[in-house]
Amino acid sequence: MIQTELKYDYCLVKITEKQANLENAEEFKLLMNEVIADGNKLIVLDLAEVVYVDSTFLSAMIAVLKMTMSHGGDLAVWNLNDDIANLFSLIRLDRAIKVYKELPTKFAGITVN
Amino acid sequence: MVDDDVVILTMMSRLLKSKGIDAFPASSAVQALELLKKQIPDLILSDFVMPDMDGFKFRQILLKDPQLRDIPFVFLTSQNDNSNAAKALEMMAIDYIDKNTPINLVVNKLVNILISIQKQHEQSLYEIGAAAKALNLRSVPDNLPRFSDFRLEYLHQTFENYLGGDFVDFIETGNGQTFLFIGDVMGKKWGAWFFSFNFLSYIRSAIRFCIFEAELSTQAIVSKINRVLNHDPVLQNVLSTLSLILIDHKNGKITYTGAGDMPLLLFKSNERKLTEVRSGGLLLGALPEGMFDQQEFIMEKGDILLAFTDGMTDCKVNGEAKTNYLGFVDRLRKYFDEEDPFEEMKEKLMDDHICESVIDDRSLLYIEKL
Repeated sequence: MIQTELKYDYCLVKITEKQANLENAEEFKLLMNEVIADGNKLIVLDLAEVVYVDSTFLSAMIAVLKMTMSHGGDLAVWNLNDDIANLFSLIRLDRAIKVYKELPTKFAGITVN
Repeated sequence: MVDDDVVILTMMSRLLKSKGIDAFPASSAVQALELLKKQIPDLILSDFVMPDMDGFKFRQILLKDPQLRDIPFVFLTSQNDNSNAAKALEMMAIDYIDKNTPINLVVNKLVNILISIQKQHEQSLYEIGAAAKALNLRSVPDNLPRFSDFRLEYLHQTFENYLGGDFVDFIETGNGQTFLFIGDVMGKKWGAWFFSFNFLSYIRSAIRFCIFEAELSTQAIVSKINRVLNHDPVLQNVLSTLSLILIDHKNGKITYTGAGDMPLLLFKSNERKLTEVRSGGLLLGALPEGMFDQQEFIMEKGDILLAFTDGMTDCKVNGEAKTNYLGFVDRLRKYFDEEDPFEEMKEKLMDDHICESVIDDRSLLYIEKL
């Protein structure tokens, strides 16, 4: 469900599911917990393959944001399709989780700059 | 349906289809496990003896997976001996069918099992719903209050008869003002429904305390609710949207604070124009500093304000769930030209799909200045 790759000063985590929803949200949280426990504090989620994110998965993403913040880190997202980018803006999630249009060479999030 | 005998698979699929049942054939347990990643069926039928992975091993794997272990499972085999039957039932299979049974009888038996599963499911939903009703656990009111200056209505539809996370409610201050709120606890079905009462209690108490202290700022109220939620261990990682709207009946003024909600839609009657009212607040429970703000505006005669949950905008298109906010707004536009826009919405909005099916409970709050 995820593939990780160390890039610059952050960990790039690709979500390999088309539907990010109730059925995989819990597994996503557990896997991300391991990624953070491995010492990755700055994380960028790559949503290139994701078509739809439901509210349960959005909650899981906020739970992951909180996990990174409790370790002095931060979470950002990249490669959102138009619908998901619009949703992030509509419900102001982009004020809590940085949305990248292009991958940065140095992590710049909202709480960690 | 898992069987290495393709002839049996094809025949049974056809017969089941003729009875209105979709069957997903898999010629091996490995292929079945792949199918189960994409589709959760109402029933699994599996052969015992298969090359590579047999029916027992397949069942063992399913029993270890919390998402798959409760799918009703039936074994099908030609090795009709008592030890296999006992083994099957030990592995929580609901039945065991002899492969030598004529195929139309096997199919009839499967249809009967599916009907009884469906009946049990409906009965469980009915009993939980009845228990919730008896305990007066409701997340939407019977009716909204009637006023001479504002018309207040709401629409609410559950998803596949499950009570969900949406809630709608109101509180009158007794001093010419009315609070209205609509929200959606994130998550699905029972889990979200259960937590919606905790959220409703917090919201109602926060509003009441603020009324006692004559603090009628929607921003202050939502900030207080958020602060409490961020300290509540039970509700940690449970998030909710909220649109809190205060109507001042003296001057038609609306005060609004949103928390991770969809923008409100305001139809200005004199301009015949639909505009968004956006708020800056994050989801309740997301972060201690919720970035809440407060929007204020006056509603004139004929103006209509709508607040709604994301279930109104999300739907399935070509078998895939999608968020379609813009499509929803476009669909709404045509109702404002009707004589009674709310009645049109009530009659048509919930059925007038631009998609194949809805995927969540959905609610809409309608406020019209008279």
